[in-house]
Amino acid sequence: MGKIKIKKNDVWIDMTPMSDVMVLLLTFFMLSANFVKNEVVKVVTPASQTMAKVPSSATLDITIDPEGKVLVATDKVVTMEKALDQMLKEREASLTPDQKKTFLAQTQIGVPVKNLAQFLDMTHEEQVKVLKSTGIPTDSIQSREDKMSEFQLWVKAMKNGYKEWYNDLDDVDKSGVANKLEICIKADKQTPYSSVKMVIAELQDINESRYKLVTQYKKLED
Amino acid sequence: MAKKKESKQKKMNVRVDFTPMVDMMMLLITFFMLCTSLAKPQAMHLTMPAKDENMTSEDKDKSKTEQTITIYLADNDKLYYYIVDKKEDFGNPEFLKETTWGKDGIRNALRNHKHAPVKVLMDAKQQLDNWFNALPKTQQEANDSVYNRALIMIKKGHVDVVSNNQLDQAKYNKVDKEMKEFTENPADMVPTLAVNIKPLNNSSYDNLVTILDEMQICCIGKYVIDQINDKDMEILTGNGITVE
Repeated sequence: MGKIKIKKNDVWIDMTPMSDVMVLLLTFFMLSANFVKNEVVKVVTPASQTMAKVPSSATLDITIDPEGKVLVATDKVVTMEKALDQMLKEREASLTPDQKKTFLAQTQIGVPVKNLAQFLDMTHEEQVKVLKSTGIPTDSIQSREDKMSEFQLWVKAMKNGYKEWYNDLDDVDKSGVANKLEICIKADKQTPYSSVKMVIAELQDINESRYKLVTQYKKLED
Repeated sequence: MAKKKESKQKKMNVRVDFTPMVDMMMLLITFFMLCTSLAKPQAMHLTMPAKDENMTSEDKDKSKTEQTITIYLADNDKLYYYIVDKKEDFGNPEFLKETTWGKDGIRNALRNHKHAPVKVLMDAKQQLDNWFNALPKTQQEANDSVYNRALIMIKKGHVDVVSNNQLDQAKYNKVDKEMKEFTENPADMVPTLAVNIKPLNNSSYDNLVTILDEMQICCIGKYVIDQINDKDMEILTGNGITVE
């Protein structure tokens, strides 16, 4: 019997062009990337035709969810640390170093300070559940002379914390760095106006009258 | 003669297998695609008046009544506007009109306001945009501040800083000087509309942002977000609108 001879083809594929394309894509993604913050309470912002972008750093995000719960966040860890220390002093609470570390890893602050220690000891799943149902108290604290609410205290603490950090910078480092935190209000489409009104009124009370309303871009129809 | 020795170089195979590299690249790309967002959200600037107990209602309201429009945002995305010619008429429920969102509704009402149509301002802004966009890219950056300043002028009513899709440099300089010295002549300016935005407690935040956006589109410089007062209550309840 004659042997059947199978012709062997060279199956080598040149991957170089593919690798070239990949490198290009990768470079593009790396350069244009801003990382998604894993926020627990997410909101769908309304649309506008404004072109201006949200500043990429030095922001103080105030999230108002459809039920009117308020959460605050900032992108600067230093600010968060300073604000926390101030808040703990203000509200006479304390945290262990471990709890502090967990706190700084949080993307949003949304529980009353007196529950903070308990909150930080929870598992992540429990924390998500609590965050989705609590919010920072916005009613004024009756025992305080200035009748400020915990929300106002947080905003003030963050602002001061950032200012302190900024003032400690060397003059060389100061160029290109915003000199104060920019307040960004991030509310859901469905949030009732009464909740937004209350937040704005509280901000006005502490002399904060400039905000950025976070929106999505929508083309003008005509 | 010695025989030339043929140099016998050993040929090495220089092909490198790129497959593992491509694999790794794929992984990295997938990671970046999933964990980053490309589009940054937009920010709309809002300045609220600082709280000042010494301010009376007269200080707040310096615009002429006939050049004012009040917009009410109500429940279920409903929208009403209120225009009166005389101060005494304010509070009369029959002047309230319902309208819709978008260009055929509220924008039309603003554009064709009887005493202070914003149509004129929008046309001027369009001309300014045309001028700016026709500039070469290199000059656009240098003229950015001029553009913004001219836009403020138009919003104040100096629509003659542009003509024939061009910026009138002489007029611009004159107005710029006047604005710095507070010597503007009201006769040079076209009447501008003042808008009172009054969202009811049961309206949504989406409505508020949409109406603020409308202020940008319509080139309105004077607008304020205000509280509902007793007179507004009369108007609204007179038309059977639920306030809470």
